[in-house]
Order: sequence, then structure tokens, then C-alpha cells
Amino acid sequence: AQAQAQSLNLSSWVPPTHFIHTDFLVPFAERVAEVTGGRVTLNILPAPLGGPAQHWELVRNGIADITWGNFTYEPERFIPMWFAEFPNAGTNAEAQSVALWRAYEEYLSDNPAFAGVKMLGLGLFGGGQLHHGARAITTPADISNQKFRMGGPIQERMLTALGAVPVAAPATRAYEMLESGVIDGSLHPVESVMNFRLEGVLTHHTIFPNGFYDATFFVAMNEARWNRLSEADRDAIAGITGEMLSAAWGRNFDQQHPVAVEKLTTAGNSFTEASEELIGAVNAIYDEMVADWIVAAKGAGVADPEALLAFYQASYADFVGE
Amino acid sequence: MHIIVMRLRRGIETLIALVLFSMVALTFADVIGRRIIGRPIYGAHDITEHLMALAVFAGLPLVTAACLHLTVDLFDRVLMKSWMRWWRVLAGLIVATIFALLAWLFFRQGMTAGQISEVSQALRIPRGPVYFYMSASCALSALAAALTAFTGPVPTDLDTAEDAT
Amino acid sequence: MIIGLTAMAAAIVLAFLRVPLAFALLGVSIVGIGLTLNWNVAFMLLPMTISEAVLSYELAVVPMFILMGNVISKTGIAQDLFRAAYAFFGHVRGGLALSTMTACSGFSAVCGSSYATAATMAKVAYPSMKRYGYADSLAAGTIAAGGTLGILIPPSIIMVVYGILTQTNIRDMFIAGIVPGLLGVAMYLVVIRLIAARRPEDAPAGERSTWSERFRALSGVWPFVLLFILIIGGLYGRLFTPTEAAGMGAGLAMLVAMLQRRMSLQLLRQIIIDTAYTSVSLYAVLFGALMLSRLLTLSGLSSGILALVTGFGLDGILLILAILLVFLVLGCVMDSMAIILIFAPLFAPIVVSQGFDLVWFGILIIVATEIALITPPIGMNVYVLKAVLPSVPMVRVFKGLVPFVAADLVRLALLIAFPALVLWLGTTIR
Ligand code: NA
Ligand code: NA
Repeated sequence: AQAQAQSLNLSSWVPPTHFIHTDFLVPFAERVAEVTGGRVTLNILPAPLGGPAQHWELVRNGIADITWGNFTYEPERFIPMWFAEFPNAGTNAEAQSVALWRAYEEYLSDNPAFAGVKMLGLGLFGGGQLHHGARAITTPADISNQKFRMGGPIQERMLTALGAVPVAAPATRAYEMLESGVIDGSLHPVESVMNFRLEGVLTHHTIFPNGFYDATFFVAMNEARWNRLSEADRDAIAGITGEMLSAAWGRNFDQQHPVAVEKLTTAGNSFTEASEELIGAVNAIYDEMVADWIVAAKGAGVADPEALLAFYQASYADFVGE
Repeated sequence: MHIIVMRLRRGIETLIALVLFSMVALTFADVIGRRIIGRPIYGAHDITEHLMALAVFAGLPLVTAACLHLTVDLFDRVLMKSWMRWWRVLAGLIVATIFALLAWLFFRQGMTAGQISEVSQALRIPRGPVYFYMSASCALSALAAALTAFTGPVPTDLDTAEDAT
Repeated sequence: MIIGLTAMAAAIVLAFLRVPLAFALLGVSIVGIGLTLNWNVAFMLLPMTISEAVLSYELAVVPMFILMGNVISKTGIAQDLFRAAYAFFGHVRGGLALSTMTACSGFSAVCGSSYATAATMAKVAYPSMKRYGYADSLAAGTIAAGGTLGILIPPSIIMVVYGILTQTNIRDMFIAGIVPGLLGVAMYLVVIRLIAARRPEDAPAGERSTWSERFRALSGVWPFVLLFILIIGGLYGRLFTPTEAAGMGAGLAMLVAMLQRRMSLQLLRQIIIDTAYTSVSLYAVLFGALMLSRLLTLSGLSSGILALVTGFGLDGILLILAILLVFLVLGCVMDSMAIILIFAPLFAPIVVSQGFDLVWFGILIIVATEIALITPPIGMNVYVLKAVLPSVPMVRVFKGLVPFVAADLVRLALLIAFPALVLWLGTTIR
């Protein structure tokens, strides 16, 4: 209700050289200052206030005003979001992120899992893929007994069902684990093989045309803090967040992807498509996971999970078609 | 009373020794498992983290009771004089207060953890009981700090307590 | 920014007033965050920060390395190392001091603590030097200076702490410490030779060993060689993570001690419990330091200082020199672990924003605080010696340390002038 200048603390857990910092957070901060006429500025803190998995709690409790993070870093908390991390969530990150935002608005915004925060944007990363350090993985037989680094319950279930050995660890530890033989391969979007400089240790990339798995991200603000902004500032910020911010998130990942493919190809790495047989095996697991999720999501307060999933898929197809 | 404290201390010490020893054994098993058999232990890092939390919070009341927290002793010549006793008691009570605050905050955190289904990354071990354990340890440490502020340290069997620097 | 500065000053004052360091840091951070933002934030952040730290896999490296060092020092394995060094160097002038320094560097390769290195080598080497009529200043000076190698030659607890606080890769820190550590050993050996040449009566020669004696003595070195290859080879070759290297090292050290029948179950229990007490007190101060670094982040102190010093035209290498000067001065009155805990999180963002490498900066401030361990009035290594060797007057030890401190300053200058000394080995891996 007042017009004095306000600075909002933003806690981010990637180094300031990461593209999420330089190409997403910094432009976002500039846009906020611009549309509010400098009344609201974002202060990106020089160090994170907690671990990556703590960033939802940091913002919900108002320790930071704004944070971003990955929903499934808290493995059992955000059940309503899981469907978007399953296989076949798509490979166009902008379309995915916009579709996820629309689905959230339509079906999830009053779900208790998201209480206490003002959601500013949602995002997916355009399809996670399977990467191996020694050979091309194209068939179910290739994958069995191979040790893959992964994060989160969905990837763990996929790998286990395919007969591989899941090893839980953050992506930042992939390099040393590959070098030391802890793992044979690792799950990443193609972009992060490049951005974590893994091209020397992950040399064979298996591409699933609709994505092998995905990761759901939030950009969120503390709700009480949001309500303390003046109405004019809230309106101004609302005009550049939501679907717009989600689209910006996706575009960043979409821009990284072709750059990464080119760089990895130049480095002599091989890209292969997953065989029909492997895709069939993944789809069989996918069907089971969806069936289980529908039950779990109903328990987590989603009235009609089937409709939510169908809405997401239709929105995605719409956006890609546009 | 004295005997109960000593028994309790030795019991906790044995627990810590077993925990640290299992950490070593777990590392061996995990490394050998993946090198030779090609099968790492799922969630080995997760187990290590929990063992460490178990050991550290088991040790906190002991270190507090023995007054072995890292302390700067530059001005001991003045501060250890008898007329400064009131300050040493006060310093002990500061420690006790912080531990009491921590006990309450970890208890609150434990209550929240249940509501938000907070679990560990790999093995999905619920965090609620972990926080309650930390809370209990801090409460015991608060008690130890408050008592030793007046009585002085509870003796240990350690020959030297070398610091880690 | 005012609150940040006041908080740091208050933490230091409370620590000097005998409030245990961990609680001085925690108390000040809680109050500081409460005043900067609000109490609810302080109370939420406190358990989140502590549980995140205690449930951290990276930090579990600390107790494992402490355990390994304790096994080696308390089962007499360190004695063999000194005996082997003596068999080779004992007969030359200053030979006992040279042997001690060599043994210190070998022991440092399996021990992450400078106090433990100094204390162990004091028990192992001082009696021999005394017997041969070494001057107290040279004998104690050698041990106190040699002890500082404990935190620079990997493994090093202080490097782990720095890595955790500044989010720098711990393996990179370890690899970067190797060359500066070896440079330190070389320079200390030269210093001893120079002292022995100038004042031969201070450093008489010992007896000459025969080659068969030497080879027999060499057999006492294999546990160190084995552990060193396991840890450094394993880290350099990326065979395991630092935490795994530490766990394997601790296990192997126990195995060796048991095979050599040097360790009963009773002693094993005692060693592990010792380790636990040391680790717990270290974890507690780390909780405090992490909370303080949260306060520094929230209060904007780092960016404030950066604006201030660049306003004075202090940037680039001048800024680094100014920061190092701060660390050297602090080192006169503060313990090196406390300095790293309190000040590394403050300066790291400033250094990064000037485009410097955090690994290089970390090694520089560790060398700077290492000097702190052997300078008056607070030289913790000297105090440790004092506890082990109550008969040696402290002034004489500090006097004996002057040439070693001079060597350290030269080394620091070399590392600033030639960053490759720190960073080159790391670049050969990747
Ligand atoms: Na060392
Ligand atoms: Na000093």
C-alpha cells in the first residue's frame, strides 16, 4: 500500500556463471525493476541461504523472498506435480513449461501442497535423456545391470524397472562418480552434459523422441511478502510472470539444447535413438506409473488427475502446433 | 548420581564408536562392492549422512558436559581468576540458552517435517524422527551446559583432546 | 552492513571472553539475523542450516580423516617413520632436525590436523634431539613449523572446512595443496641446513646408520606409503570421492595397526572416542560459522566491503594483498581455524567478483593462517608443544621459529606471484 522502494532477496543455488543465473534470473530482475518503475528490485544474494532441496522451505517461511528450485528434490512432497516428470512429457521446453503453467492454474493452484507461496513461474527442461560413458544404449538388454546416477523417485523407479542399478546423487557429483567407476552412466538433459562439462565421460547419448524423464521447477515468492507489495506493483509483476516467466524458462533450455548437441557432436560423441523395443519397455513402465500416480494424486487432493494429465498433454500439443 | 552419569557417558561413547566404525565398514563395502562385484550399496551416501548425524548429536551432550567445545584461551590469565567466576557461569548459561533454543526449534522442525512429508533423497528416510532426536540431544546438552556452568566439567578418560586444526 | 560488521566484532569479542567459539558465532548470528530481518527468519534458518550441515556427505570426510590420523599417531606407527628418516639423514649436521622435518611431512600426508602433527612429532622426535644436545629453539621450532605442514599437505581438515564454507571442490583443494606443501618442506629443510651451518653447536650430527640398517628402517615406512598412495592416488586418479578416500584410509590404518599387533580393542575404542570428541566440537563451530555466513549474506556485508575497497581503488591483485594482510594480522591473535571459519565466507564472494580462482585464494589464506600457528602471541602449535614439552620456555620456541616464518613469507610471495604453483597440478587431471 506504500510507494517506497522495496528490495526482495532472491536465493539461488547455481553459480553466477550458470545460464539460469545469467540468462534467466538477471533478466527477470531487470524486468521487475523496469515494470515497477524501480520501486521493486530483486537482490540476488551472493550465496544461497540453504541447500538446493531447501529452497521451497526458504521461500515458504519467508527466509528468502524469492527462490527457485526443483519440486522433486523433496521426493514425497509434491505428488500433484509428478506426472510432468514421467517419460513422454515432451522435448520442447517452452511448450512444456507453458503447458505446465496452464495446468497448474487450471487444476492445482489451490492444492495444499503449494500453500504459502505465490507461484511466479513453472518450468520443465525439455526432456531428460540417457547418457553412457562407454557404449551406445539402445535396447533393454544394453541397459540392464548398468549403474546410472539419477535423482528422485521417478527416475529411480524407471531405472529399476528397466533392470539398471540406480545410484542417487546430485548432478554436480556426476563427473567424479563416472571417473571413479561409481557409475557407468547418468541421466541428464543434453544441455547439462555440456554445462557440467561431462562430454569426456559421457560419450554416448541415447535420445528418446518424447523424453525419457523430466524435471519440474518452480520460481516462487513468499505469499505474505507478495501481499505486502502495493497493488500497482503486484499487477505490474503479475504482467511479466506466470505464463510469460514460464515460457522464458523453457526458451532458455530450448536455446541450450542445439548448442549442446553441436558441441557434443564436435567432441566426437555419438547420438543414437532409442530402439522401438526400448521405447516400448519405457512406455509399459510409463502406463504403470501413471496408473499409480492417479491414485496417489487423488490422495494428495487432486480431484481429477486424468483430466489434469490430459489437459497438460493437450496444452503442450497446442503450443507445439502454434 | 555420579555413577549414573558415568554409565550414561560410557554407553553413549560405545554407541558413537560403533557408529563411526560402521561408517568405515560401509565405505569399504560400498567401494569394494562396486569395484569388484559391480553392485554399489543403494543409498550408501544417504546412510553415511544419517550415521554422521547420529554420531554428532550423540556426542554433543558429552562434549558439552566435558567442556571440550573449542574455546579461545588467550585471556585465561584474567578470565580464570576467582572474581571472574560470575562471567564463566554466565558464559555457560549462554551456551545452555542456545541449546535450549535449538531443542525447541528442532522439535518444531520435527512437527513440520511430518506435515510436509520431508524425507531423505535416496532412501526416503523420514526426517521427522531425525529432528526429534536432534531436539532431544540439544535438550540434554542444555542441561549439561547449565549444570557444568556451576560445577565445572565432568571428567573424561581422554588423555588429550587435540583440536582439529 | 552495520549489523554485519557489529556482529563479526561481537563474535570475536565473545570468543575472546571465553564463550566457546561455536556459541559465540551462533548467538551473534541469531541476534544479527533477528535484527536484520526478523526473529522468525532467524529461528527457521537455524535448524535448517544445522541439519543441512550435519546431514552432508561432504562433511563426513572430517571425522574419517581425524580417525586415520589418530590411529597412526596413537599406535606408534609414527615412531617408525621418524626412525627411517633418521637412518638416512641422522649423521649429517642438523640431521636430526632434517629427519624430524621429513617425518613431519610424511605424517602430514596421512593426518589432516596441524596440532596432531605437532603433538605427535613432539613425542616422537623431541627426546632424540634433546639427547644429542640440540638447542631447544631449533628442536621445538622444527617441530612447531613442521606441524603446520599438516594442514597444507593433503588431507587437510581446514581445506575441507574452507571448501564447505565457500562451495569449492574439496578434491581440487587437496590436489592444489600438494605443490605448495612440498615447496614448504623443501624450504624448511634449507632453513635447517642454514641454521646448522651457522651454529653447528646447536645441531650436532647423530650417528651414521649402515645401509642394512637403513633398509630395515625403511620397512617401517610402508604403511605411510600405502596410505599416501591410496588417498592421493585415489583422489588424483578419481578412484574415489574424498569421503570414501578418508573412510578407506581410516579402515586401512586400523587394519595395519591390528596386523602389526599394535592395537587392542580397548585402544581402538579409545581412539574412536577421541576422534568423536574432536569431530563433534569441530561440527559445532562449523554450525556457528555457517550461521554467521548466512548473516553476512543477508546483511550485505560482502558487497558493502567490496564497494568500499573498490572505491579506494583497491582492486585486482592489490585487493588480494590487502586481504592476505588482514589474514596475517588476524593470525597474530586468532586461531587459524577460527579465522577461516569467520572470514573465508566474508571474502570469498569479493574474490570471486574480482575474477580470481577460489582454489588459489583458499591455498593462499591457508598458508597465511598456517603462519598464524607459529607466530606470537597466539601460536597454537607452540601451545600444543608447550603441553607436550612443559620444560621448554615459550619465548625460546618463538625465537627458534623466526627463520621458519621468514621462509613461509617467501613461500607466500611465490604463490601469489606464480599462481601456477597452486593450480598447475589440478589442470593436469582434467
Ligand atoms: Na595433512
Ligand atoms: Na599467531
